[in-house]
Amino acid sequence: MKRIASTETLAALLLLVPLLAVPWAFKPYTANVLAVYMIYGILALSLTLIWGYAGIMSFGQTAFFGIGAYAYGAIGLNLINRTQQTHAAVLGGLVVAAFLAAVVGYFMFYGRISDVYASIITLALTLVLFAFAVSTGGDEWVIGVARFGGFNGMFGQGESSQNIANFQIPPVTVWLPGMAQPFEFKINRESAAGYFLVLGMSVVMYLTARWLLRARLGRVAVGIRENEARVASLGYDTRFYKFALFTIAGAIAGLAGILFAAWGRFVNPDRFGLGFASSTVVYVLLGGRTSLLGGFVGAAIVGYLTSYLAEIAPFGTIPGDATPWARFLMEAGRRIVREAPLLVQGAVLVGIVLALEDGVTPPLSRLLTRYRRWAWWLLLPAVVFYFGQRVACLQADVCLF
Amino acid sequence: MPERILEVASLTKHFGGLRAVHLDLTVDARELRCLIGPNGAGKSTFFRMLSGAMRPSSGTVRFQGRDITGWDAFRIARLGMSIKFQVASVLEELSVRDNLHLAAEFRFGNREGRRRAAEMLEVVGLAERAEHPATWLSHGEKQWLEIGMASVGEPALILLDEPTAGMTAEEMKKTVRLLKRLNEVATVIVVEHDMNFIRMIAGRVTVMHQGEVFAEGSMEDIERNEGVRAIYLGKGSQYVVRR
Repeated sequence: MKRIASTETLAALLLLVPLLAVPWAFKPYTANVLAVYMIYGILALSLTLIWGYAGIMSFGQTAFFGIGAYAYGAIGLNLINRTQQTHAAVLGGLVVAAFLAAVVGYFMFYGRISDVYASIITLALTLVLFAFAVSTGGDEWVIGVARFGGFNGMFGQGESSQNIANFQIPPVTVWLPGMAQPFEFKINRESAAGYFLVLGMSVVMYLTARWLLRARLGRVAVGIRENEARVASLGYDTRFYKFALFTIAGAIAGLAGILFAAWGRFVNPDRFGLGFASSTVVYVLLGGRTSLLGGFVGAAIVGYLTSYLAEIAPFGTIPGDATPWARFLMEAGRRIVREAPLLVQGAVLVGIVLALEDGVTPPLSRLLTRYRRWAWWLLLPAVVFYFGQRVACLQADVCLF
Repeated sequence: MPERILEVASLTKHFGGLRAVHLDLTVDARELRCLIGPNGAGKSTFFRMLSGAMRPSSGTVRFQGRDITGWDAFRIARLGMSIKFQVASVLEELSVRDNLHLAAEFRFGNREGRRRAAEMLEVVGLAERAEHPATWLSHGEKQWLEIGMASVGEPALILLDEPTAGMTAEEMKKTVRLLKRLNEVATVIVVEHDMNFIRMIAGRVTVMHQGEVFAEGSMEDIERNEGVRAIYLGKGSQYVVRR
């Protein structure tokens, strides 16, 4: 058991080290993309906690993500022009998400609803919130200067502002006593602070989850997954443990939502939608339910696949002398890949999940366990790649990312 | 007069029109009681009602002087009653040590629980397998692990549903020693089918039949009882339960 734990630590460090250097080696675009993968990874981590460890499948973990994002947006928009910081917005997003999870969790677990229904209830919750958020297009759906905006998403309605940026949800902004001016966590040419905020939060949430699982809460949760009646007969009120873990997972998902709203400076009802809800499940399935890193790996794979598939044009130009049938097939193939990336993505995911029932992390961690002596050398190609692409980008303006 | 730890009064369970259990039973503190009876006599249903896994249709259960009828399983467990289920139900993917630790932690906290779990590993003879996931254990070892889990929290009353099912004669002897050791500090009620085991334990025996208490007494009394023989072997049988 100890060996497995230290392999996990090693894997986490191997992922962390290259990520730390990203802002120096690549353009802000890369940091931006990786940040959103990590944000989705935090969301997936919250699902891993309750699904992988306590055995409670929450299909609508996005409900807490979305509500955290909306709460941050609504409070942040009102706060930023008055106080120049978003402390209360971050706190408010967390509290609202945790509160929603606590209420739903209380009724699910103390109402003795079986775990199968938990996935349906949470899915219904996120879809209800989706329908609600879509219907907030009217002028009456305004909190202070924050306009819910229905399907168009949340914007501020300023009066004197000329700059579009003032209408957007603010980035996480800190202004502590003793600081000369407020500090914004943005990702742009001047600053990678927003990237490091997301990376830091990923690390903190990962460590929090690990700590929780080692504590009594986590041990009991695993016991509940294995045999709930047995754990109850040992004297544990299993309802409470499920409730507590579900609430904590809701808060973590809410944090991901806050980071998302602050990262994109925007949130719309899609964050409650079925597509996003099922993507989150896919991240966890693909990455592996039994590892806390799995969600991050799954989110990165799906994210990369989605953007890569949208860019490629298979078969190049179709030759003029192709037979009508070949032309048709090539045209169809290209259309499918370019215009229905979700279809291809789905096929790839089904393939991976069928081939590796526990996702991609367990085989990777087995490999890492076997070759742990050489593990640190895995960083070498990353260093070469980073350095080479930086030189190429600066000298010859050939930039990969 | 010894203290009565368990008093069951006309405890009844109906499944639709079928009355599965209807019985009265009292057990003294520090007693080692055997509960026998043919399949379908209602022994496991009775245990499930005692431990809170199933709510009785009517009747009362008093445990250590308190009426615990219809309580949740975890509250009954906290009051000092623990159970080993009929089907071995250890936490398969946790290590043997973690299984025991979880069982001990509730009562003694993390650190003391860890120490007690380590002690219990020695008592049930699974110290060498401490770090293995419980799913790797043999059938008999799982039974011992469950007995360990049921007793590590120092409960006042331990319910054991078929602790020797599927054990070899050697394993059974070890289980008898284990039970006697547990009985030094706790009341134990054992459901068993194996007459050799019951004889080795040599406690007071209660025979259940069709959900009711049919006979009660020492093993000698029970073995001489014509009615019990009839239940087990069919009416008019001249065979005696083999010695």
